[in-house]
Amino acid sequence: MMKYKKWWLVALGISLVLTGCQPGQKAQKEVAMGRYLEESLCFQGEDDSVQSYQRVYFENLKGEAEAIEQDFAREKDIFRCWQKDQDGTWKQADTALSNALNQSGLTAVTAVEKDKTLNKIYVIGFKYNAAQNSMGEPMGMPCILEMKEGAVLQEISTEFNKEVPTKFIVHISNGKMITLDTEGDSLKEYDIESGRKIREMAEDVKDFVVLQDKLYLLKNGKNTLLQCYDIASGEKENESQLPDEIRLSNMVAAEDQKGVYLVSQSGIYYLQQVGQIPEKVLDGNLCNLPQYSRPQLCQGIFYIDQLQYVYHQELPTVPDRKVTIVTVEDNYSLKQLVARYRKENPESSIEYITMAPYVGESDKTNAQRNSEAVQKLNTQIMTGAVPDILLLDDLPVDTYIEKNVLGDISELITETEKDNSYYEQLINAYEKEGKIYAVPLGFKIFKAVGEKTFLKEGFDLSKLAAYQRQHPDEQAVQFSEMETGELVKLMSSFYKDKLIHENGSVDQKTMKAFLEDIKAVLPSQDPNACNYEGEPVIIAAQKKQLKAALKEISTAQDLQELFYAREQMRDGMITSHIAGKDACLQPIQIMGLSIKGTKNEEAKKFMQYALTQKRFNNKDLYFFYGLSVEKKENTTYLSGQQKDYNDMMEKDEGVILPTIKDGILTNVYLHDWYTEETETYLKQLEQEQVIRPVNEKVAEIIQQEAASYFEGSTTSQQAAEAIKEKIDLYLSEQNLK
Amino acid sequence: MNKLKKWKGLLWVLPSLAGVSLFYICPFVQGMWYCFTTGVTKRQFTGMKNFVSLFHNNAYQLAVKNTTLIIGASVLLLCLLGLILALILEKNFKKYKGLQFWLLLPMAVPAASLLLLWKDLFEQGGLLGSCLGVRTDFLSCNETPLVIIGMILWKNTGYNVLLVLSSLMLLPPEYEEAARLEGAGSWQVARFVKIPQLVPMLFFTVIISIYNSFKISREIYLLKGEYPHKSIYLLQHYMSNNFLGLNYEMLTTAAFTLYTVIFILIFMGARWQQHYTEQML
Amino acid sequence: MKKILSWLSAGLMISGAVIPIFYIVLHSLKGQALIKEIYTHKSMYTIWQRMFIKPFYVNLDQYYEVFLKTPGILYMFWNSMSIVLPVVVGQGILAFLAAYGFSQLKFPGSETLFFLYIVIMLMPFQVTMVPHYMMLRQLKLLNTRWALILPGMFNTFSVFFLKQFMESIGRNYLEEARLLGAGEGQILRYIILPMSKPVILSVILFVFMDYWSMVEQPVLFLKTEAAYPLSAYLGTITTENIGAGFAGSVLYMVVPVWMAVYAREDLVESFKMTNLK
Repeated sequence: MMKYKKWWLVALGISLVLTGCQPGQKAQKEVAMGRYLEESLCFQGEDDSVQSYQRVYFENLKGEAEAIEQDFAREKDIFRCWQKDQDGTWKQADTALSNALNQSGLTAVTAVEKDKTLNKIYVIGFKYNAAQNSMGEPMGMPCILEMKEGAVLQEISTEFNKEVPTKFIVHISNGKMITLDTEGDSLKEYDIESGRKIREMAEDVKDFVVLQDKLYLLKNGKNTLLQCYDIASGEKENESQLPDEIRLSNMVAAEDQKGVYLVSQSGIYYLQQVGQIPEKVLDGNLCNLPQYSRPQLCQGIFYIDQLQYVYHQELPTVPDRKVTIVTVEDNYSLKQLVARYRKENPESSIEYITMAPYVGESDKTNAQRNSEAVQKLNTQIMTGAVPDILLLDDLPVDTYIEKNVLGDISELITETEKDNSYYEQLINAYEKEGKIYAVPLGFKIFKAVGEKTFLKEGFDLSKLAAYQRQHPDEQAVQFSEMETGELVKLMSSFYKDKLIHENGSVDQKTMKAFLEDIKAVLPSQDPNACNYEGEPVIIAAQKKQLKAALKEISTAQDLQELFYAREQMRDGMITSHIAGKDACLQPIQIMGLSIKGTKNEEAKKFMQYALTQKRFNNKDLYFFYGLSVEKKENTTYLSGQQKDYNDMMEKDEGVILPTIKDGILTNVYLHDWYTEETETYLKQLEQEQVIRPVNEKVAEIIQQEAASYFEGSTTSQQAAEAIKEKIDLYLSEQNLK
Repeated sequence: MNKLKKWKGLLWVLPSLAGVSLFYICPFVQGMWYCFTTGVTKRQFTGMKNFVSLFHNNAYQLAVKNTTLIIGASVLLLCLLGLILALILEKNFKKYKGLQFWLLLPMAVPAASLLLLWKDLFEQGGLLGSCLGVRTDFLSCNETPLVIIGMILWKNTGYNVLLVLSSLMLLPPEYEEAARLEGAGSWQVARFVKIPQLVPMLFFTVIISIYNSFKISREIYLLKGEYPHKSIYLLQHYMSNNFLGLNYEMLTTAAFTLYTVIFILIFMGARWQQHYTEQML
Repeated sequence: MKKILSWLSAGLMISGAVIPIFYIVLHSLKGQALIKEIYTHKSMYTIWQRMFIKPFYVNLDQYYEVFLKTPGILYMFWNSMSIVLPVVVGQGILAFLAAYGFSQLKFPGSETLFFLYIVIMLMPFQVTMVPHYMMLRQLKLLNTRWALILPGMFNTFSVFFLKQFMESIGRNYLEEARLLGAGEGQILRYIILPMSKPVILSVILFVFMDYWSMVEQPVLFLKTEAAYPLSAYLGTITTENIGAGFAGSVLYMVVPVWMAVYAREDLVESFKMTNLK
């Protein structure tokens, strides 16, 4: 026996070693103090009409903090300058630079950089010149200007102009300039004096930073790479792959020039050396860190887009009261809500978990990501790790209610109801046996534009389909902004009662006719063939909230509120009248409190907070109206603004407002609203009723089979049969029949 | 001492058994407990209720029917094909250098990469359809089980042939020679001399075939999603869909029932094989 | 007649094995744009047109994408490796010991226990998923590679396979060794190990292929997609996001195919030995 003891020990040793080297999660740090908090914009001007700006510059020739911003919203570009006073707030000031810029005739400025070695400031931008494009409009030509003797801007090196396309990110030192071409993602170095290109440094670059004599490049693809080059030799010295969550980041150099900060949606990270593991200094889960936005760092404060991130020494790093919120897809509005709540309750911590985070150019389709996410979440729920609050979009709400995952929140609602009368109706969407399990905090409206006859008297699919069959060349109704799958789902919710019997089985005949009808009304391939003229109609609207939004429009106290309400309506209506009598909805931002959450006081408090907020703030607007947040009493912005708009409309100018969507600046055309119109809407909406959407899985099955029918691979008869079969299977499998 | 010696073997099994208990047996036992409970966050004891509702469930019945049919047929065909092809190839096997490699190759091709090929072959307008001159989607019609069985066969036949071949080559030639002398034809030699000697190997082959055939469900899932055509709705679909619907107890009940059946079958098979071999000797 | 039959069946099986591989390799030589085009407008081409689209010229675009441009797939390949190799090694050692115990040193209940092992081997993953997940969480293994490696090491497939082989080693032979004073360790080291080398190799091959192609576990137990093995990624390829999927598939196939080439001799050897009765 003794002889094989050795072997036994070896085996034991191996298993011990293997179990011993589990890289388990490290123990949480002890309560440390200090963390970054997201705060709203620092540049709060007096001029409320300012609608958008881009900040491009941060230090003047004297080395003081000075911010230059560009106001896009006006007809003419205006440059404004801000300086920091002693108590740390930014004040608007007329400085030499801003004056010079305003007189320079420059339109879009893409970079203002200081050459610290020569103490000069260079501006890159566009200038209109005599040349005209094919439309007969003046063309912007790129140019570079040098700031001389404090105020005068002098255009330099004409040769440069031909070389330089749109440049955004620039570094200048010793009279040499490194630029990043945002279209080609190529990094080039120029000699400023001669305007000649010295060399091409790299390709596929998303961002770069120069630290001492090293060049740090960020390359984004499926993986994010950080590379370090020696500037003088152009040799690559080092390279490392960044963790998955730091994808799509931007960089900024630390003020002590000893490291770089990486800013991505998941947080701000500090990295001292290439190859090291980045240290997270700010958790992006609870902030609105944008993608593709170049951060600025000034005196320890991050300026990113129009928000600032300030370090608070007195706050504990890890707060003690905890709430977990789970969402399938990253939700800006929810984050916004969480951020605001956290600002008001800095002592509580909210863990925001995205089950299917969007990580760069993922190869997965949404459906795949979602089903993976649902599977993961279900496993967690079944193992007892239930989150406190769930954002139920893309989750099987009905199953969760059925299986007692969600708790009753009627208590919370009755308290908040009093000052928000419109919630009372919304709430019924997820009411069961007197208990309320979830509340949609938002809604999506689909719109249809088309012939009056089909829309005015209430929408009728078969009537429309009959017409379309007779007139295959025209399109009477255009369902805009809607994929075929979505349309099928919407319509099946709409005709739910007819398609599916009370016992859950599918009416095959009706289903067949339904599929045929849908195919008949599908938008034709050629978008130009669509007939856009006619009146738009809401065939889907969560009426009560819509009503509230409309009410807000009519009673908006200031610009922000007005624009917020409009934003909510934008998807649904462009102008004019609603005619449909039936309404169908797509509730979004459905929030529910889990059984576990009902025992967590903090979770309840947050839920209540969400309800009292009436709506999630919209990130776009938050960014966009950052400058006009300030409320003024007794000022009727609404009328004043309306008048302005009316004038503009009369002159046929329209109102174009730039806004940031998905991190990209886009222009949104806003139409005007009139008080009488709003009242008409309100009246009509009052008569309508809420329709609940069809079961997620059932919708999925119908969508799938419908798709193969539309493609032409099956006949309507086969599709209807398959739908019936599969739904029956589903129902019996889940014991729902 | 003697008493202890009897347990000596356990000592060797122990390292493996520790992990197996931790990662497989304990979860399985816990899963078995779920069979008698219901609820998601709080489990309540319900007795045999789950079994009753399981056996009355149409979807489950369908799944059992399909699974038995598809897996049963594939295992049978796999073993038969393995045997027949091995007997055919036996004589010339040594001549075919590298045949082993080709036989193994289908096993080495990952299922995921094959999906697109399967689609090209069997979907509407695919190769099979155009050869037969019909416009059917062979992945969702009543004949789909045949396609699925074909996929299983494609992947595993070579392997089974190798298994049988290798044991065929080891059979002592004396028996065959004796039979030949007595005037037995090839078929008779195979039937009365070779096959009986192959029985233990065949038992092993059957288990490996079951193991490999069950893997097809992943491919079906990747091809056709959660709800495929009803003719290929397998137990695995039933189980994973119930999981998504948070009916974990139905999953474990179904699995438990299935594994009881498999356990009994294998046990009986093993007994029979032992019995048979003893008789032979 | 018999010869023809045997040539025929061999030819059939070889072509059966070759065609799919030919298909994958062929498609991996088409540019990404072309692949995308023929798969999104599937109905416009027949399968022949799709395979041999004209003008056909070799385009290494997909390989460029995989190896140089976006090394994501390459990273996933190494993820796969770093998960599968420990599994293979661990399972090999553990199963070797256990199989010896099961086959040569039978103890009361060893047969029943072995049946349990077989049933565990046949058990699909979903069955134990929830308790399994709880277990991993308690062990703090979630979101680490060990959540895949440790359970993998204890999979019972190779015990089953190795036991079958070791059964066939003559008991008398070992008894003799024991009488000569060899300890069990020595027997294992100097008799069984050399004899079972080919069998162990073939077991390694199968375990490798099993874990090389796992999909569900990584998706459930790993948090970040960057840690996913290649199989989990390839499972998500559909006609919409096909991209460099074919080149990825080729990369994915290379290792198991290479192993099959490498192990084929031993494999046949091992099958022979399994029958040494």
